[in-house]
This record gives sequence, C-alpha cells and structure tokens, in this order.
Amino acid sequence: MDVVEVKELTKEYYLGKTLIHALKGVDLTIRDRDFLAIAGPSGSGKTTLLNLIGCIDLPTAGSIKIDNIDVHGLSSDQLAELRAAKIGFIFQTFNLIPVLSAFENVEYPLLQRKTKKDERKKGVMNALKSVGLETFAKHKPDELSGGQRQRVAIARALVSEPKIILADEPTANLDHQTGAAVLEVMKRINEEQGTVFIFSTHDPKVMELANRIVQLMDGKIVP
Amino acid sequence: MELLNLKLAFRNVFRNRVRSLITLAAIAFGCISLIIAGGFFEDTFMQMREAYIHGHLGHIQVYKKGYLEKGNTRPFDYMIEHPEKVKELIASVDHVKFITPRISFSGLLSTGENTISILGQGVDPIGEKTIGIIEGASAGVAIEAGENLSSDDMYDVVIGTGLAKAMGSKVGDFIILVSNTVGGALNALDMKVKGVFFTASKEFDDRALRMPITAAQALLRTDGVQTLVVLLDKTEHTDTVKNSLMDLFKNKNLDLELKPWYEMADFYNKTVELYGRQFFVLKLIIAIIVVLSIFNTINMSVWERAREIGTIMALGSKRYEVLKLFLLEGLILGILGGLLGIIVGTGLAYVISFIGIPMPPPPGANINWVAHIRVVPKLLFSSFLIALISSLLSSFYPAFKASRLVIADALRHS
Repeated sequence: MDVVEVKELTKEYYLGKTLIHALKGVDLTIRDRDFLAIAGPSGSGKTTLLNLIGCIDLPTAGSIKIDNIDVHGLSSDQLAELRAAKIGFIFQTFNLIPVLSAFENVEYPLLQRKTKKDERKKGVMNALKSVGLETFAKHKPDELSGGQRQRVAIARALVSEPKIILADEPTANLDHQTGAAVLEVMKRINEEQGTVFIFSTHDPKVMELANRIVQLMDGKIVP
Repeated sequence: MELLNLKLAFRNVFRNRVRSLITLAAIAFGCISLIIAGGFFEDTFMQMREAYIHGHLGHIQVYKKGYLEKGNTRPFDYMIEHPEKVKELIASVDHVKFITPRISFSGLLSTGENTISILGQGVDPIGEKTIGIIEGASAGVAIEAGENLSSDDMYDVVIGTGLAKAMGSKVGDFIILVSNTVGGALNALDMKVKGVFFTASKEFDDRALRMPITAAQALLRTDGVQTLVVLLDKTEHTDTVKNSLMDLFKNKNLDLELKPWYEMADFYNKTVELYGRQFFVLKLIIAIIVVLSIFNTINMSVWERAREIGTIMALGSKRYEVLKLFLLEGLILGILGGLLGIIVGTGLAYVISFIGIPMPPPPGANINWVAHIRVVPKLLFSSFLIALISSLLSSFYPAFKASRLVIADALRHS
C-alpha cells in the first residue's frame, strides 16, 4: 500500500534575490514498511523533499498524498491535524523542548491528541522503553547525552503511533557509534511496528541499512 | 493541554532568569509608581475634602426652599422658622452625627480708623467645635491667635487672618459691627476680638467673621436661622443621607432644600479634575514603559525560540496554540510583576506615610500640611489591571508573529 505519493513536485524559493530551484519535478512513491533513505550531497533538495512530505512547507507545484489524503488546499490547522495524526519528526539537532523533561517531551504529541492520562503515561513509558530510556524519564534534555536526546526524539516521534516518521539527517550530530545505535533503534521499530521511516543522509554506512535508497541530485531523482 | 501550556509558559518565563527579573522589575516599578503617585493624590483629595467639610461646609447644608436661588440677594427672606424642630427631624436620619445652625449676613466692620465689608457668620460655638474635629486630626478652623468662641460668649468675635491683617486688629481689640436687620433697619454692635482663625480657604479667611449665633440674631433682630449644617459619621454617606433627607422633606411636606458639600467645594472639584488628568498621563506613561519592556522580552524570546516554535508546530500544534502560549507568558509576567509591585508599593506607601511628606499650603490656602500615601483597594486594583492589560497588549504582536512563522523556516533558524 502506498503511504506517500509525490507527483511532479517542484519547489522554488528566493534566497535574497536569487531564485533557487530546490526540487524540479520529483515523482516518488513510498510504500508501507519502507525504511527509505534519501541520499544526495548538500543542496540536492533532501531537506526540502522531507519538509514537503512532512507538510511543514508548501510546494510550488505538484501534488502530495499522505495516506491517500491530498494535502493540496488544506488549511494550516488541517495540516497540523494531519501531522499530529500521521507524521512523526526526528531532527538533526534533536529539537527537544529544553524546559520539559524526557517524559514531558514524549508526552507532548499525546497531549496534542487529547489522549487520556492513563493511556498517555503507558504510551510514553512504552516509547521510552523501546528506545532504552525508561530510567531517564525525569531528566531534562541538558542532562542527557546527544545519543540519548536523539533517542528521546525518536520516542516522541513514535509515541503517537504515526504511519510515517521523517528524519532529517538523524545521525549527523552524533558520533559513529551513537549514530549506529540510533539507526538500529529506528530499524528495529520499523521491523517490529511497521512504521515507515524516511530519512535523509549522505553517509554511505547509514544508507546500507535502508531497504530503499532514493538518490537526489540538483533537485531531481537520479535513477 | 491547557495544563501543559501553563507549565510550559511558566517554565519559559524563567528560562532566562536575568531578563525575566529585569522585566518583572520594570512592571513592578510601574505599579509602585502608580500606587505612590495615586496614593499621594488620594490623600491630598481626602485631606482637602475633609478640610473643606470640617472647615466650614459640613457634609450637607439645609436651607429654606428658594434660598439657593435667591438667597444671595434677599438672604433674610429665606429663614428657617422653628429650627429646633427641623433639627430633631434631620437627626432621626441614619448616619447624621450632628447639626448646627448658622446665620450669614454681610455688614461693615469698623475699628474707628478702618472700615471693611465683611461676611458675617453667626454660629453655635459648641456646634462649630464639633464640626471642626476630623477623626484624630486637627480642627478645620484653626486658631492662630487668642481663643475660639465658647458657649458663654455673647459679644465676642473671631476673625479670619486676612481680615485681621486688613483691619490691623489684634486679640483684645474692640470693633463695631454694622448690619441691616431682617426688617431693613441699621443696627450696630460693639464686639471684642477674641481670636484670629484660619481655614483651608484663604478667600474665606480674608473676609470672614464669626460670632455667637445669639449675638448675630440680636444684631439682625430675628429668631430664625438660614442654614442648618449637617455633619455625618462618614463623608462616603453623603449621597445616602442627601437622598434620605430629600425624601423626608417631601414626605413631611417641608419647605426645605439642601446642598451637599461637593456642590459647594468648587476649588476641590477643580483640583480633583486637574490632578485626575495629571494622573491619567502618568498612568499612560507607565503603561507605555510596561508595554515596551514586555514587548522586548517576548520579542527576543520569539527569535531565540524560533526553532522550538517550528518543532511544536511540526508536532501538530496549531497557530492559535502558539499564540496562546506566548500570550500566556506575557500574562504570567504581568501577574507576577503586578503582584510584586502591589506588595512592594503598599509597603513603601506605609513607610512614606509613617514619615510623612511636609507640604506647602495649597493655592488659596495658608496652612502647611503633611501628605501621606493613602492606599485604597481601587488604586491597587487599577495598578494591577494596568500591569495586566499592558502585558497582554505588548505580548500580542510577538505572539502573533510567532504563530505565523513558516515551520520549515523556523526549523532552519539558528
């Protein structure tokens, strides 16, 4: 089953006075249980593609369907609801909310969905357990290592059981060993829970773990 | 979610402690300034008002119907007959503490060398003494030299400081008082200056003479009085008693009318209006200071936390939720700064009041006085409200800006 369907996706924007053609007509279909790497050098359009699939940026042209929902024309509130229901995010710089504990950070998406307190607690602890951080629930982000922070971010992306988790260079800010451990967690969740992972990288070792690799170059998919 | 927003907002406020403390100090400073300045005005108004009331106005004056309109030209056509009966009736009304009769007339005062036109007041010495006492404070009519009138005086007078100066009279001097009687004939009395007085009103002190009402009635050849001055237990009850008295006069079919103190204290009313406008400008300036300081704090916070805003929006927060979060942060700053200002401001007001602020005589008066900072609930409430509204107003634009960020751009922000 197709989870993401992207057709003729184009994105242009101005950087100062220069028009940047970030994506030039990308077609891509992502299927259930995919563990997909978007590879390519810096400036090839990886982050732009992820942002568009994640509905946090709007395309100049083309269409995007998430779980068969055409996102074109949806209001910002409808897009927010779609993200909360179907998409999880993992960022290169972890992006945890510094004033909240690991537990509260993971709890945030569930509060967004108005999940009941008991279910919330269970869900958060399960998510933390699946990334091996159940004993760090009360720790604030600045009390955790880089690898631990990224694992909390994975738990946060995972906790609302989204169809898709988008990860923009999830290991770029981690050393090789920690990065490998984080990828292992992602791979295990993909295999056990069937969650689709779409991640960008230019690290060949990371690509090795993917069951599909999409190569981007100058805003186009290279066959 | 609401609880999380509150928790998040509260923790965010104290994320940059130094900046938040400076902002809180600015809000608190604004509140303190409002409490001190407002409390000073409040005390000035109160002291001035009480000085007028206890000086010579009383809380309410009762006259025969028509006196207010035509009494100036034909004062003796509007005399209250049987004042004792009317006094009894008025005394039956709640909050009435005391009633004293007065008779006013114009006349000439002569020392033999100088002759000056005066405003004479026949008063009951005991009654005036009672009216002159303000809760724990000095009398409204103060004696500068000699003594005030007493109950056994007959042909003694006390004269205002300005009048004494103009006449060149001093305590113990004999003077001749000439006036028209009620019937229109001329009458004169030899009087002795028993004392020189002053009140809060210089205008009154420059022309006024007070004598026992019995002597005034003898001079004017009448048994009636023109005015019954009513003193109440509290100035705040003026309107209640005014309405009760009007009902009473109507029900008993009495040919009487009345005037409350605030319709007579023209200078007081103008002062309140002038100070009120000054205070409004002060409020505006303080509100602007609070607005700017909170605007700066929240605006910087939005820029610093752009990536975080992008993150929570990516996680599914809607724009209005981001707006709410930053408004909440502004509101928390306003509440904390306002409370801090109220606590410190009230404390400071008590300290200043304990020491007292020596003040020169106000325009039109000749008494030095000591000002205090009078903290009233209304003032605390309005200061807190200004802090709160300014905080909300100033956080609105940065909050709105935060809620309109493009998520992808916000996430790239470093």
